[in-house]
This record gives sequence, structure tokens and C-alpha cells, in this order.
Amino acid sequence: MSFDRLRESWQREGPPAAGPGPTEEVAAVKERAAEIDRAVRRRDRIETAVALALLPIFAWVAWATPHPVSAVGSVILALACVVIPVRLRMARRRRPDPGLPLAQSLRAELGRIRAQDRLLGSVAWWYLAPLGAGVILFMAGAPVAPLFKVGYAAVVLAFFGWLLHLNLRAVRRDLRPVARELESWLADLDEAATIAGDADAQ
Amino acid sequence: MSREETLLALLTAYGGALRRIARTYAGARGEEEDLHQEILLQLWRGLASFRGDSAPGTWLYRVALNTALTWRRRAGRDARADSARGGPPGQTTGEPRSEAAILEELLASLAPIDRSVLLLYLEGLSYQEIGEVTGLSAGAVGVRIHRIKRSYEDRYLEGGSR
Repeated sequence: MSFDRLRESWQREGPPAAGPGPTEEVAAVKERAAEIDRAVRRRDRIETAVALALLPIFAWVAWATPHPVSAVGSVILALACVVIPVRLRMARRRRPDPGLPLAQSLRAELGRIRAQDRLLGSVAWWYLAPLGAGVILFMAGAPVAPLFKVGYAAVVLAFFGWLLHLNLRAVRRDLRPVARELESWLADLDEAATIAGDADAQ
Repeated sequence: MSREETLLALLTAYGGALRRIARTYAGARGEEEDLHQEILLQLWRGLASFRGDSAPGTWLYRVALNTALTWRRRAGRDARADSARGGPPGQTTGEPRSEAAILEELLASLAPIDRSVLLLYLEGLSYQEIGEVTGLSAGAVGVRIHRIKRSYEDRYLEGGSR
């Protein structure tokens, strides 16, 4: 079969006869999109509700506690209740337009992956360190036995260290290979453009 | 025209093409329908911001291919799909193969960008149109098609290139 005849053969294969028609497909996709939107809105509402519920508690403790160290911890935790959900929500919004040309879309996707890489790579500074410090300081000023405070701090540090490890592992295992793959595809596209440019110039 | 009517018109005109794209990029047989649904979902969402800067067909192919490439990349499906198709490209079993099997094998043997270019070529798009979908120049598309054609002839036609 000649290369040009491949086209005819390819286009003979239409949609399955038994499958749903376009009208049913449109109705189904509308319903699915609405379901996904509802799930996302639910998740966002839960996150916001938790943050809004905790914020006044920490703010009140910061104001009412006689222990300055606990007050500092409470302020940090109250601030985290605002900053972390906002930062997460902003990060989720960065989605490239699916209607971009392939080359542009791959570049946008690479940009998004690199932004995620930076976000997770710096998670220690904007998420774990302030939250961990807040949680430890909150208890450090409380009137409990010093040995308990030390044990508590050790457990919190170990837990946040584990979270940091998981985040950095996700960067290493998930994001970096995807970024490398995207870079290789983009290099492939650039190479073709260069060859075509050379051919045009000759 | 409402978003619903636009999508209906697109599916009526390009339903077969979308199925073929989903089949080409789905990792395993069971994923074809999932990928097709994902493409439809992205089309539906994308239509909300589609301002008609490109032809509807060009836009549809962009969305479908971007979705398919993301799909493959996210789950690292390439390797599994290729192994599921059985053996390296061009491997012969002694039995005559159907045109569809040859096409499937040829597409599976290509790198993702070349696969997209060939797929659009098979769909009947001109080099210019393929360039508009991929972001490549028409010349670059021509170079790629020429390479794929030579590789196809070397592999599948007796006597190699002609």
C-alpha cells in the first residue's frame, strides 16, 4: 500500500456504529463537566470552611493566652489559615489553554510544571516551616512538662520532615521526568523548524 | 450559536476524527473511551473561551491532540502501550497484516510529535493546516512527513525507498 493510500484507509474508519450519537455525547459531557465542577466547588468550600473555623480560634488564643510564645505560635497558625488555602487555590488555577497550538501548549505546560516544581521545592518555606513552627511554639508556651514539650516537638519535626520528604520525592519522581520529556519534545519541534528553515534557505 | 450547539456541530463533523485520535493515543484498549471522554470534556470547557481566532476544525484538533499528549504523558502510558501492542515496530510474524494494523504499528513506532503530524496528515489536513495545529511551519511539516514517508517505505514496501 502506498503512503498516500494510507489516508484513504485511515479515514474509512469512522466512529463505532453502536456508540452514542453526538446529541447524547453532548448531554453526557455537559453532565460530567457539571459533576466535576460541583466536586471542585465542594473541595474548595471544605478547605475554606476549615480555614475559617480555625482562624478565629487561633486568633482568640493569640489574644487571650498569657504565654507570649504560645501567642506567637497562634498568630503564625492564624496567618497560615489564610495564606496556605489562597496559595493552593492560585496554583490550581494555572492551566494552559487547551486550544493553543501544540508547540505553544507544550511550552505553557512546561512552564506550569516548572512552577509546580518551584512550589513543591519551596514547600518547606511557605508551608511546612511556618506551620511546624506555629504548632511547636503554640505548645512551647503552654503550661505543660518540659519533657512533654520536647517529645511533642520531636514528633512534629519528624512528621513535617516526612511531609517534606514526600513533596521532594514527588518533585524528583513525577515532575522532573515530565519536564525532561516536555523539553525533549520541544527540542524535537525546534529541530524540525531548524531543518525546515535550512531547506527554505537553500 | 450556543456552546451546546457548537459542540454538537463539531462532533457531527469531526466525531470520527476524535475517535481515531483517542484510539491512537490511548494506552490500552480500555482507555480509549476514557481518553475520548476527556477530549470531549476539554472541548466543552475550551468552547467557553473559544473566540474564533482559528478555524473551528483547527481548534478542535489542537484541543484533542493537546489532551491526548497530556494524557499519555501523565501516566507514562507510552511504554505500556507499545509493549501491549506486541513487539517492536516493523516486526513481522509471517502473516499478512491489514492496512489498519500497519497504520497502528506505524503510528505507535513514532515519537509523539511525529505521531501527531502523521495523524493530522492522515486526517486529510494540508501542511499549512497541520502547521496551524502544531505550531510548526508548513516547511517543517513537509520535512517531517517526508521523513515518515521514507521510513514507511523502507519498512513496509518491498525494495525500500522509491
